[in-house]
Amino acid sequence: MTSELFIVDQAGKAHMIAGKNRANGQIVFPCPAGEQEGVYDRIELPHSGTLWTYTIQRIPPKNPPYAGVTSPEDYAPFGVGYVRLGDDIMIEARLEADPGSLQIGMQMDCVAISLARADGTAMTTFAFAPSQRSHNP
Amino acid sequence: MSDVYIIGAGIHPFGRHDGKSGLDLGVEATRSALDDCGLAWPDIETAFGGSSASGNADALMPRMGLTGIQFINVVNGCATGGSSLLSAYWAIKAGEFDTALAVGFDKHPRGSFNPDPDKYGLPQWYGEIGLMLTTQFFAMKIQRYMHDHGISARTLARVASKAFDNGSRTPHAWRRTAMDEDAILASRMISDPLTQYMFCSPSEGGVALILASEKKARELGRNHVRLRSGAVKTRPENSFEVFSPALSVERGETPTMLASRAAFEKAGLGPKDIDVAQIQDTESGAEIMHMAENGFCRDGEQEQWIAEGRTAFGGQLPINTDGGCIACGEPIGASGLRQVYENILQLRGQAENRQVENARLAYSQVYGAPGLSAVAILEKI
Repeated sequence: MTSELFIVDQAGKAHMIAGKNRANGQIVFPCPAGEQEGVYDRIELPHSGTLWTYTIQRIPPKNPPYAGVTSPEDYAPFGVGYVRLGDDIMIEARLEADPGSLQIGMQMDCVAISLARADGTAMTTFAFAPSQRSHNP
Repeated sequence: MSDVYIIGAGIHPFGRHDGKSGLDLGVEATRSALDDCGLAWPDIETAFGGSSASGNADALMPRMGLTGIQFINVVNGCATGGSSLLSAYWAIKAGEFDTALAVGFDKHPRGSFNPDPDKYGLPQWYGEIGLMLTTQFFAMKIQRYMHDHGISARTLARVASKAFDNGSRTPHAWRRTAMDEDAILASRMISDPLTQYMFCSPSEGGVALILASEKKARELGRNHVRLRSGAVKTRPENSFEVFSPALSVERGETPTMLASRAAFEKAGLGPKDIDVAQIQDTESGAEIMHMAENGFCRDGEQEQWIAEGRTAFGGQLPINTDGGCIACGEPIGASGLRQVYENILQLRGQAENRQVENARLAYSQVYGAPGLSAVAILEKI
């Protein structure tokens, strides 16, 4: 399921997968499947974008639906934000960054991450991390 | 078509009530509303009610009496109460009934709400990776708003401090201890920029309102508070709403803007006519943003408005005079009706040490997931 949300290209860069409406060009995420499949073309979004807004999840979300670690001793706060990718869409995602470093407008790159589940397994999912470029201009 | 009056109002105080079920709170509120207007249960011709966590609202029927009336259960997120009220309003306005009950009650477990992605048409991964939290939405919306319109963290704290001050004057409020801005700012950060005491919490409570046609209200001598207009609207394209895996880049109008405009248009009134307002304050930022979305000020003016106390008692537009959701907590089914209950007290002159002098027009707006708003404008006759 999660693998359909993004791909990693040959250069190792992750891209979100969205749907472009064949009739009106509207871009949506996740790319609709099933009944709406013929209505949308599958497209890759740009690897990098800018942070539109964010917050930091300071306390553990309830499990379920959250699958990650929630025990107070092992929980680490994580960022959540919307990243603007191109001219049409902003994607909501976890942010892989020092929470104190987050700023509206900063450059972010799409990355694949491994999220530890509370049950000891791990899931691969997408996130955004501060651009390498902005750290090493 | 008939004008519609609210002739009876009852509340079970909000808070935590061990030993009572959510349904008990709804029954007590309904009895209290009947007592308030001198009617008996068999006098009620139709009912609309909602509860999110305490079962179907029509479970009231066996407790109140099986009179055979139509009872419609309403499920509309945090805007359930507003939706119940307006359903009762339209039923009477249409001339179909002379009396109607709008009732809401709830009893939530402690801690934040725990929504299931399936119920919102969202994939399970959305919850699994930690995005299924209403608190994140409110935090991200005000974070961007502060960036765009120059609102400070101090202003967030001022809103919460006002809520606790107002709550300390309100018998039906849950949190009745005043708290200063610095303590609110220093409390535990929950979801930046919002701290623990800037958020409302799920709670318990019940509210019942009895509506009547003009003919019936006059007959009973209770034609004092008229429901002048109301509107419920859902989210339009390009609105930034809770539980959105993606947003368009363009920002459009919000359901609150649509509902507010529709209610004002139907009433032939504008924001400047309003004397007292209860608006959705899921957290401090929501009250600030809703001030502008409801048309009471422009974006960014809240910083000055709140610093000058214009939304506190004695100001030009007292807002959330009973402490709002921040001081009362949020029992989903009852929350929107609590706002209207408070406005009724204000218009009847029964709000005691939180009375807004000469209040004639009172406004309420409740917002709920996944993006809807209900507005009601009451008028003192």
